[in-house]
Amino acid sequence: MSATRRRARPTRSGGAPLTLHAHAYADPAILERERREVFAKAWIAIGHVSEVREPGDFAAGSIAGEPVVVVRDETGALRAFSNVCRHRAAQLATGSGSCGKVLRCPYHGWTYRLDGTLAAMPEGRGFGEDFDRDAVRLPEFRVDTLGGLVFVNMDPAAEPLREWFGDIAERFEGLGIERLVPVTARDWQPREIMRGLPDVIRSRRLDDARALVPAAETSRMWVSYDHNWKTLADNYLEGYHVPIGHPGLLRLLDYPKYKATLHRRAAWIDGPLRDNPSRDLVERLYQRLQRPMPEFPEELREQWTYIHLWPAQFIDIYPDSIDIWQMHPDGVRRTRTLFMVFRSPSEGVRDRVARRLNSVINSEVMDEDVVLCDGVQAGLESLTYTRGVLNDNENAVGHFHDLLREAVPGIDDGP
Amino acid sequence: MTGRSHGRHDWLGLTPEVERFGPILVDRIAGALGEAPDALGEARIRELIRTGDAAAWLAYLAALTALVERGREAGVAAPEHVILAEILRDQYRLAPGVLRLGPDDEARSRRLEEMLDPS
Repeated sequence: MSATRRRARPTRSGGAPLTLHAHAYADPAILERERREVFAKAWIAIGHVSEVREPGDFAAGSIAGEPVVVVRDETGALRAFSNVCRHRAAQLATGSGSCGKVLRCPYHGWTYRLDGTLAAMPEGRGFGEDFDRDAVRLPEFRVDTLGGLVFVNMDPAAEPLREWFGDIAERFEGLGIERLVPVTARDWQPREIMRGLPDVIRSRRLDDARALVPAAETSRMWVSYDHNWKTLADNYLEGYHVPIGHPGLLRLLDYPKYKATLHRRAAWIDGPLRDNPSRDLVERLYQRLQRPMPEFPEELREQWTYIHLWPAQFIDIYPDSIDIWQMHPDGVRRTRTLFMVFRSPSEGVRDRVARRLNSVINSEVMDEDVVLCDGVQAGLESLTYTRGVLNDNENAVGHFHDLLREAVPGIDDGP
Repeated sequence: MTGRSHGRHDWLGLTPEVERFGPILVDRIAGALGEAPDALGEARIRELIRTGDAAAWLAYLAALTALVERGREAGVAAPEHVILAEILRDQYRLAPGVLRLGPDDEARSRRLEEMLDPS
């Protein structure tokens, strides 16, 4: 089969686009190719600019299971490295915070400068006179920022970030995410505090007491789902299932105006809010209390907006907050999703309540989606199903599948 | 998490190489200088590991650095002198991962780097 034929969108005779072959959702060999040919070549958001503002600040993340860490070096430049110690493969950093002037491996203490070179390792003489420590450095990746997010790309040949996402880049920058702050949850860890108290009492030092209270970090919530990552992505990308699968959402969103606009490696989905009150108390309260963040663009104030950034980054833009979902394939039928929330720095009590109500509403939507995706994943592996067709309202799914066909030639061929 | 708020006992991770090689190197350098090594020897290291803290460890490194510098001024060219200087240089390179260096420590670190690589 020629490359041209392979990339052409298969259509049925009636002209409706066809979905990917179901085999692509259950084949470990395809998943491995996706890790290498999709994720390892894509710009992936690792964190928020506020996490790496000062020299020594870092944010750790992963690209489809590949550990990466972004640091602000001593010259003020952002740098991205493999987050894998060259000694015995431990992860150097987790979460976000400040590492001072060095990244230190928590396993054996190998210590790296913020340019990725090895500064020293404990008991260095034990590696022999001829061990060339100057040759040891963390592999470095490309890093750039767009619209308040820090993106990393492992592929040295990839297009620059703005060109990569095409004309959505400017629209994305207009969202003002850089002016928002990540929602943090101080993890008080009562057991850890109790365990550390005797030391503090012995030392009688204020600094030791302060150190018991962990610093506020960006709240990163990881949730695992028993679905192929594309099953979850397909579900996010279309509103065709909203009237059937999400009655509550249908009460809030003006479904006839729900539409996806396609961009080069992205989709922008507008979901205008209805102006009549919902019959459901939580939804009605949300409608009454929610008000747009002052940082929010005027044209998006009356709607919920959903953005897909290739390959697996999903951004929910609500007037009261912004959620970012990232999907990390963790097996052919397992996906780890990273969830971060951003809010206005000037958020008041009313806004916090509205954000909480939003969370209640969308948690229910998520629960409904999980049940739907459970069924879809099983159906995709049915002996009687090969591929389906796409409605106009599923145009973003078709676009996503075309991008996959382009990035992973042969993905659509079946077993 | 790698973080600036170092654990109170993290500095202990610095001690093994100094404990292993320090006493004999100190003995020889101090001997060449005609000094008594007692205040820097094995008993001192063990005491520090048992009851010391990060500040005491930095003070001990400062004393070892001063010994190396006195040895250099006195023209002690024995391999032991270079080895102790290298161990101390690594101590100061590793230290920012577990404790906060003061300006005097930073200056000692720079002097050791220059001593071992004058270029």
